This record gives sequence, structure tokens and C-alpha cells, in this order.
Amino acid sequence: MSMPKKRRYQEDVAGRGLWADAWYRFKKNKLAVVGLTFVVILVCVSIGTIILDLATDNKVYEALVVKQNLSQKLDGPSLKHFFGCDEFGRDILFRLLWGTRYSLFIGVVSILSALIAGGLLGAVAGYYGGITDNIIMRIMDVFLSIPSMVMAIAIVSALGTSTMNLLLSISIPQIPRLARIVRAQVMSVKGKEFVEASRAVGAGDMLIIMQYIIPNALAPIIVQASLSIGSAILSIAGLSFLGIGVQPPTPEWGSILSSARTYMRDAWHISVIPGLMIMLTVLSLNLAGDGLRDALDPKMKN
Amino acid sequence: MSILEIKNLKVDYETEENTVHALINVSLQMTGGETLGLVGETGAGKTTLAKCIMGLLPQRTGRIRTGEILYGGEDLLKKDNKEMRRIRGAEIAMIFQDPMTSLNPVLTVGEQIAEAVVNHDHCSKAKAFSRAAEMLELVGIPAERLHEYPHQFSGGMKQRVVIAIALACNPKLLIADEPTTALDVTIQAQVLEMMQQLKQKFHTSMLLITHDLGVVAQNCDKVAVIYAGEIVEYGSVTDVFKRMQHPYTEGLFNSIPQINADVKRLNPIPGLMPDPTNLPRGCSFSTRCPYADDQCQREAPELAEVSQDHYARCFHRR
Repeated sequence: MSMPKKRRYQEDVAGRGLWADAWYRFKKNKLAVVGLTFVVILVCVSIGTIILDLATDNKVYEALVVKQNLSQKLDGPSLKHFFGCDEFGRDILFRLLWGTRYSLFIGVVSILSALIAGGLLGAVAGYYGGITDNIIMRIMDVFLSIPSMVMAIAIVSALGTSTMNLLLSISIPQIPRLARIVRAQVMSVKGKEFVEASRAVGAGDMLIIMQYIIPNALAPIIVQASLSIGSAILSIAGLSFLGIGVQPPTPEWGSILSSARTYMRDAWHISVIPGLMIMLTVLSLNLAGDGLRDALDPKMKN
Repeated sequence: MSILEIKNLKVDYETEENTVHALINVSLQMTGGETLGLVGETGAGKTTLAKCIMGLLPQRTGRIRTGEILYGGEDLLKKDNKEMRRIRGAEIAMIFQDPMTSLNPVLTVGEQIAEAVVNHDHCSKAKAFSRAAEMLELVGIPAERLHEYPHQFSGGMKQRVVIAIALACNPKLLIADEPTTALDVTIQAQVLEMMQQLKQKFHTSMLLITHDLGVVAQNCDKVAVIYAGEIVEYGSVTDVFKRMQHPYTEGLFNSIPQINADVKRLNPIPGLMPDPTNLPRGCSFSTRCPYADDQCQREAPELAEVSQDHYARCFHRR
């Protein structure tokens, strides 16, 4: 074997780990890239508006998003107001832009924290089994037996309405669902022969969990998590509708949508446009999640 | 000098309903550099023995009742998990039966070989990868395929990768659990020949578990025939193949089709292996043995020396 050949491959391998390889495959999936692009745009919008608020001390926010102007109430889409105005004459475009952060961040952060908590609990339960499994999963069952909306309402009314509590109330009901999926996946991967084979070359528990069990268990977990983000965004909208979510006049998409209910016959744009935004966001999250799942499966490479 | 010595190993699998006697007073000895073949039918306890040596017995059900596994003079059964992890791979490595399932589908073969190296040598990643490339070339796979995934390899090549992983740390003892059972015959011969070469190159001792007597004849120095958890005959390949003493060994040879004999049917051993949860009181082979008499049903024979280093567990030794 010649030396230069070997060196080339070391560099190659050093430059492309599991995730770099996954990104390479992700890029081939056009729909997933479109989904991810949309999500990235939303993230940029929300970060941009946050920076703008901090820089102008909320002046832009007050002037464009909160200030009422009853002379143009329920105006349809026009050149001046691309998406029209709502029942208080506020420009819907700006309200949507400023509202992005609530839907997206609360949705993503609540599912991420649920995934970390539920994933950890499920992985421990699935990997160690026996009494550990029993204790963790029975507690999860108790949580699972409470309807998620009821639990969310209970948490918010007990702790008071704030963004942090809203996040908790969305996140906690998702923990047992994700824990169950992670546990089932871990249990099925744990019994595979390659796990035993890696033990036979002296791998420890941590290495086995990180290199063998998690990557092999990831696909359905990612799909479930990306679907859950969608349902979390809908839950935020639902809680806002009940008056215990994001408080008016904060422009959360769900609360815009629910207040538009009254004017649906007179002003279609108030309900259709925020609804479309929610739909597009959920759709692109699902597309990106699907793409990520395929990208992480090496068998899809060719 | 003996590298591995198993003394009176007795292993049960305990489930809620019953206890399976998997190994009964197994004693074996392996000297450095030699190949010991372990032959027996399915369920005889071959894999259980291998897992005992590796310390990978299922924790929930596997119970080691008595016995010692001395590796280089130290009892492996007394070692804790951490010490065993150091031994696995570096000192004793194992090749699993099915190459299709014993590789991690989400890691490249290079990463998997390198991982075995890093586990023990704690060297840099680059160094581990160059070792992995070396190992791949050694088992006859071009090093360019270092970062391909297991599904891109054929069955025989996967088994070569598995062998490369097992030998990556220069283990002193290699346990091969039916390494060629899942492969077709032409590949079987290649893989076995390669294992022989590597074994000689690295001065590795090998415990070759198989149910193929042809494989044993070609590759082993010594043979142990195992039946229902007991070693029934043990000796050098020549002794066991030419001067077999136990009726079970005889039965095994009779069941091999002969190329020069014109027969309509094969000549299998009648009956099935006894239920391991409920073994017969006397000799466990007595239920199928053509020579069995009253004594065989009453008491269990001991493993007795028939000639120098040739043992058999039968009252009717010839």
C-alpha cells in the first residue's frame, strides 16, 4: 500500500464525521433545504426584531405593532399594508414579523427541553431496564394520563402567566410522549448484536450510548420531535385563545388568529394570513425534520 | 504455558419458570499459540462458554455457579467491570457469528476499527485511523474503503471487517464464535485461511467455535466436543478424529455424508438433545446412545483420560 493514498484518507475522514456527512446528504434533498431555508428566515426575522427592539428601546415596536389606528381598521391588503390591517387598524405584516419569536422560540425551545428531559429519562429507562425502567415509566404514565391542554392550563394558572411558564406548560406534557418513543427505540437497538460486539472490544456504557444507541435510535425521534414542534405552536395558539397564553397586545400568531374569528366574514385576511404562516412554519419544520432523518441514515446515501 | 484455563465452570440460566443448565463442570486448557476447536450442536453451550470468558453473560438470567476462568493466572470471574473492559479487545477479542448484524450501521468501518484501538491505546484519532487502514489492508480490503458504511460491503467483506476489529489491538486470545457459519463455502475457505495466517502472524491463540468438523480438521490443534453443557471428549485433532472414544463423537462423524459411500440416506444420531432444564440422571447422552446400559442411566461418567491428553466421558471406552 502506498503512503500518499493512506494520508489522503485520513484527511478525508478527519474532515467528515457523522454530522458533516449528514449535512452533505441533507443538501441533496431539495424539499428539506426549502423547509430549512424557511425556518432559518423565520429565525433571522425573530432575532432581527429582538435586536431592533433592544436598539430602539421598543419604539419601533410601539409605533408599528401595538399602536392602534381605528381609521384603517379591517382594511384589506393594499400596497400600503401588504397583508391588510386587523380590527384595531394595526398592520398585520408587522404583527406577524414581531410575532415570529413567540411561536417559533416557544415551540422550538419547549420541544427541545422536552426532548432533552424525555430523551434522557427514556434512554436511561430503556438502557438499564428493570426497576429503573419501571419507576421512570410509571411516573411518565401518570403524566400521560392527564390531557395535555388541562395540564398546561393547570400549570399556567398555578404559576401565573408569563412566557417562561407558558414554555413549561407546553414542554411538560410532551416529556412522557418523547420518553416513550426514546425508550422503545433504545430498547430495540440495545439488543442488536453490534452493541454486544462493541462491548467485546472493550467499549464502555457512555461510548455505547453515544456512538451506538443514540445514532441508531435517532430517526423516529427526530420525526416525532419535528411534528411535536408543530403541535406545540398550535398549543401556544390555543392557550393564547383561552387568554392564558401570550397576553395582548403582544402579537402572537395564535392570538391574532383567534381574535380574527369574529371578523372572518368581513375581513378574511386577518384569519387566513396568520393561519397560512402557522401552516407554512409547521410544514417546513416537518420537511426539514424528514430530511434530517434521511440524512442521518447512512443507507440512504446512494 | 497455558494461556487460558477453565476449571469446573458451571453456568445456569435462571428464568422465572425454570433453570437451564447451560454448562456443567466444563474444564479446558489452552496453551499459547494453539487453536482449540469447540464442537457441538446448537444449544450445547458453545456460545455460553465464549460469553463467560468475555464476561458478557446476560446479567439478568446468567448465573455462574462454580468454577474459575484463569487467564494468565488471574481469575476473570473475580474481575470487576472496569478491569474486564480493559481486557476485552486488548487481551481477549471475539468474532461474532453474524457479520450482518455485528457492525454498527451508522458508523463507517474505519471509525469502528479505530474505536477499538482508541478504547485501549488512548492514542490520537489520526493514529487510530492509520492503524485501521493497516488492519483493512491486512484482511484484504483496500484501505480506500475505510470510510464506507457496513451496508456497502458484502457478507464476506463484513466478516473481514469484524476480524479486523477483533485483531486491531493484537489480542492474545481470539474467540471466534462460528465465524463462517453465515458465509457461503468459497468465502468460508478464504476467511478461514486468512484467520490462520493472521493468527500465526500475531501469535494469537484461538478458540474456534463451530459445528463443522471439516473446519476443525483444517484449523485446529485440539478439539473439545461439547454435548448438553458437558465436554464429552477432549484431545488433539488426530486423537479425536482417528481414535474417537465417545459415542457422540462417533455419531457426529457418522452423520457426515461420505463422498465415496453409495447411500440413500444420511445417518444422523437418533433423537434430540435432552431438555437442558431437565437433564437425565445418568449420562446425558444415554437417551440417544446405542451402547447405553443400566449403569449409563444410573450414574454420570467422569471425564477420564484414555491416553496421553485425550479424555472422554463414557463408561464404554474402547
